[in-house]
Amino acid sequence: MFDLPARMTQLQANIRAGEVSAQDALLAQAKRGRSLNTKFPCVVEELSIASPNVGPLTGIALAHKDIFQLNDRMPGCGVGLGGVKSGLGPAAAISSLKKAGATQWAALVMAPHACGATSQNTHFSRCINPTDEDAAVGGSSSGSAVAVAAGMSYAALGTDTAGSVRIPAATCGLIGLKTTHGAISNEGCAPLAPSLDSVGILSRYPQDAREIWSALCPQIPRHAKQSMTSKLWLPERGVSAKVTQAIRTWISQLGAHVIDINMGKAFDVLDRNAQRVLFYETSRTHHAALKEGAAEPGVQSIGLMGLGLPQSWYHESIHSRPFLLQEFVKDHFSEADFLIVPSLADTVPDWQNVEIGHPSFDRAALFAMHRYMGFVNYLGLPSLNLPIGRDERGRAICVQVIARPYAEHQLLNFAEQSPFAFWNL
Amino acid sequence: MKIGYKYTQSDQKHFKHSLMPTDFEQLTAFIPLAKLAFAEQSYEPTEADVMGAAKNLARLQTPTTAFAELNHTLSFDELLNKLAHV
Repeated sequence: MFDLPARMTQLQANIRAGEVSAQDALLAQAKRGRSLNTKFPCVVEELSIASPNVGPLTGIALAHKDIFQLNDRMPGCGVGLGGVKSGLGPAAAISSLKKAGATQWAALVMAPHACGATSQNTHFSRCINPTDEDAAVGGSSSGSAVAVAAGMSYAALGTDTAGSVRIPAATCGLIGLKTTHGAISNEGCAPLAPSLDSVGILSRYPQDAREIWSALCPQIPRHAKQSMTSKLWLPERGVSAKVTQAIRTWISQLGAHVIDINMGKAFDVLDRNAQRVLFYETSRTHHAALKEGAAEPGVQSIGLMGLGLPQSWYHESIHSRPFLLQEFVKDHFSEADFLIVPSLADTVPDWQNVEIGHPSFDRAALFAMHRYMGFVNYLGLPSLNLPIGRDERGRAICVQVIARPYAEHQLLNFAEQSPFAFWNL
Repeated sequence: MKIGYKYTQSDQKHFKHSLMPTDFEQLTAFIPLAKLAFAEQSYEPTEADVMGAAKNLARLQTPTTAFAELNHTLSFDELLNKLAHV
């Protein structure tokens, strides 16, 4: 049996060089994934592997969040096993990967209806963090993070409405790319809050994420490496000293011009607008279940706030959005290419601390996981979760790097030049 | 205190405005607004639902922006394209 390399780009090179056939590579990946799933259960359904598709990703077997329609299969969306629906076609993102040659071998567990900052889900086994079994796994793309961190898939798709790609990536030491709103079609992907929903990519290595991004958005040209001039916002309050110290240490090794800024007041405005849109649109997406009292707990808590929100407040937030975006881009990306902000406000917590209903549940710990996420979705900008250090327990500490619209390749360039690597194979 | 959509006079810079405190008096002032929103959705809330929604409204107030009277010529996704440097 072929020994799979650590990086997807290496496997692509092996296949191109004829060192392994695409078919054997697919079977080896699925076998490894199946084996690791016994230790890190995150597969909702294993899919049959046909002959390899042709393209740059030929021979690459991936697993994705169970939120995407597949051929003849409705997604389970974290509340069930999915269902057969004859004649159904794949979601646009899945179709793009297939056109690029990729194969999907599994659908992965997620927080119910993509509504949760952790992996908490009563319908499936608890997700175990491959980097530390006591550590929480973020959500809602929890299975995507587990599968990639465990080595079950070189990369995985997730969706991000208020951090659902970046939070799980941050808890598992992964690259987590929330893409520009609208860059990847959401067609065939179950919605939560359509104005905020974006498909995203999780991987161990930025080079692997780039291959997936190029397949999803081939019309965006790859960029040569550019300046890393950045702005840095480290809120004075609300971010733990350990996270602040780790970010400062990493910045000192970055070899880039970094300008400290305070964008606290602008953040507050953007964050409130983001929450209004999230609550309102979630309540409309799940209106029937909320009215029938049949909504999942996560949907119930967010959706109820949306039902109690005046329509005029929502419209105001949608109306202000382009103006606030324009102002934000002018303020932050005129003199710099990147804006760096914390991912999680504290170090990765133990899973019990963020499990609602657990005796050790700590509301502040849960809040720290998503505090700095939603405003980016409101702005529609791309944002990359990037591991930049470890805490004393070895858990990842991460930042978000935000950039202009459609600057995903530049974000991945930035990640490639970062002086820290969580995965070092 | 009058609670409504345009509850403050705009500052020139939208985020220069100080936010109102969320005290008990203000919380109760948001209750009718929350009840109206629930009613518009034909949803019959419990008292706890109403109080939760009122707290949420108090928390989610934003200063009136200078953009309220303006119209943008581009859709949001078109604007994202325009602002891209690719």
